[in-house]
Amino acid sequence: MSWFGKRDRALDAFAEAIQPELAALRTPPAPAELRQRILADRAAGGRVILPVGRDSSVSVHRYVIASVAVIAGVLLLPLYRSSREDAREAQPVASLSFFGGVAHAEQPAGAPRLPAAFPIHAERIHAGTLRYRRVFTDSAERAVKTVEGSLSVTADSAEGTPAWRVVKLERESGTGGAAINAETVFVRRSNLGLLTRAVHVRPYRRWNGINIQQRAIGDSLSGRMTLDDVTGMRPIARRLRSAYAPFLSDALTPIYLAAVPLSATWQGSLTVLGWAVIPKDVLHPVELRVTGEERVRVPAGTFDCWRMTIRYSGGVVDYWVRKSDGIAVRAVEANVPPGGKRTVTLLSETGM
Amino acid sequence: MTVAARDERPPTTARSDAELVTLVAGGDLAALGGLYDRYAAMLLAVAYRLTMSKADAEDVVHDVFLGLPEALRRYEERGTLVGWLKRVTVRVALSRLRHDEVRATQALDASFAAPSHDAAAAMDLATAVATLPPSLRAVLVLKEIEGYSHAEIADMVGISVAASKVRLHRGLRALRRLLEER
Repeated sequence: MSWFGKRDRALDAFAEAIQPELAALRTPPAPAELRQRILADRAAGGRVILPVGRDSSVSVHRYVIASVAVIAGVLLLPLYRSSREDAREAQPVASLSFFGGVAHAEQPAGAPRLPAAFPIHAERIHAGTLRYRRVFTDSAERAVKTVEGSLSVTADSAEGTPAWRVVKLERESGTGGAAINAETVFVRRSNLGLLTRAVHVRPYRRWNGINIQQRAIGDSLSGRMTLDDVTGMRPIARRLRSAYAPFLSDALTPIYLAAVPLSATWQGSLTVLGWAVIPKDVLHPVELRVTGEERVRVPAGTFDCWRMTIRYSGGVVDYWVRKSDGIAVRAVEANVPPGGKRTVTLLSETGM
Repeated sequence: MTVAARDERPPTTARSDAELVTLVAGGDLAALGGLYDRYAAMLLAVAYRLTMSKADAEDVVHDVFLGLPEALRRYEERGTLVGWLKRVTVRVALSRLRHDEVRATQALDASFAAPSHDAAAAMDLATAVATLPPSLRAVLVLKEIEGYSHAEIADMVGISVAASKVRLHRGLRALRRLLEER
């Protein structure tokens, strides 16, 4: 122990003598009950975010980098503290473009009441592009916000699996393209199951932007959240309870019902995935019911449609999909705070 | 049909670490059990030496294995799996210690504290180690028992290398004093 200037030889000798005895201290065995508890908790959906640090191999370069970092850190300490607090304090919640707005409810208990709306005709999904407009109006029917969006579906592959790459890109009018909401999703072509998902929203609340990356493996959803220009990240690790299947991301919703056999009496349930950063924004169950047939006129054309009612935790949406292929052409949600309305209409399409 | 289909997969005991890692990362519970069978005893020992509490050590190992599938998806295979598992366990245990630091005394489980050849002396040593403040005990255990360098300890504990050396010095002095008082 020479780092104190005055060497403590007696303490050195003590350390050398005590080390074998320290190493020989008995420790408890790993019980079978603990193994069973771990596996049972895991099967029941238990998840823990582990503090997985960087590799701790030491090099001279690291010390140099560390020294520079310390100096920079001292200079930027106030900003750094603010950034760290921002990353921790952020309570991001996904906003839904089609099946409702922002879902505020706590996560559901029990199971959905309606049968699962599985995409048993996934082969009906085709490559193509949809363009749509979302308009928010106030109680006096004045447009207060307009969003132009596109949805492109392209045949691709992910991790060796044939996939559809679905890209949603929305820009808010009047912001010069500064405010965007972009989502890229890879889903299996065979069953539209989620593979990976990336979301970028700019700006997001008081931050320059937010990024969500998700990956679905088995019954787990993992990933990370970062904020633009802010240090740190928040991990995502959630279980997808099978009772709430099928799961789909917001970008997939306008084309999803193309893979579901609709009829005049059809009703079903599905779950829209949230960003899953905070516990209340993981699963957003949706109930869908066909309530009638109507001919609907939108900028993209006039179509014979199934009229549907969609119930989600935040309210009710009237929804129209084409009888010919299940593509969404119109959605209207009344009573959008503060007393307004949200309308989505199909503007044009290519290849669908 | 009353006979269940036989599982044709090889038992987890026959699989390599790399195979188990891939399976666990994919959510395979049997593989997770295989990793437990292989490494839980060693990780429990690490956690126990840091917490000096059987219940706390089991909670640490429980949390480590519960979070392994997601964590292994970020495992970069630098160094050995066992080294990585130990570092993760140390971090979880240290995090727990930080949260529980208000506890003045540790619940030492006597049945695990004493080696059979010199029960009284070992009990004294175990009790003395358990009596050390968690911040000093952590550095003492990581350096003198687990064999980590001060740089590695500094990284895991979140202190400077100099602080790690100071804490080891203080921990050894406190341990010597405690043993002399007995």
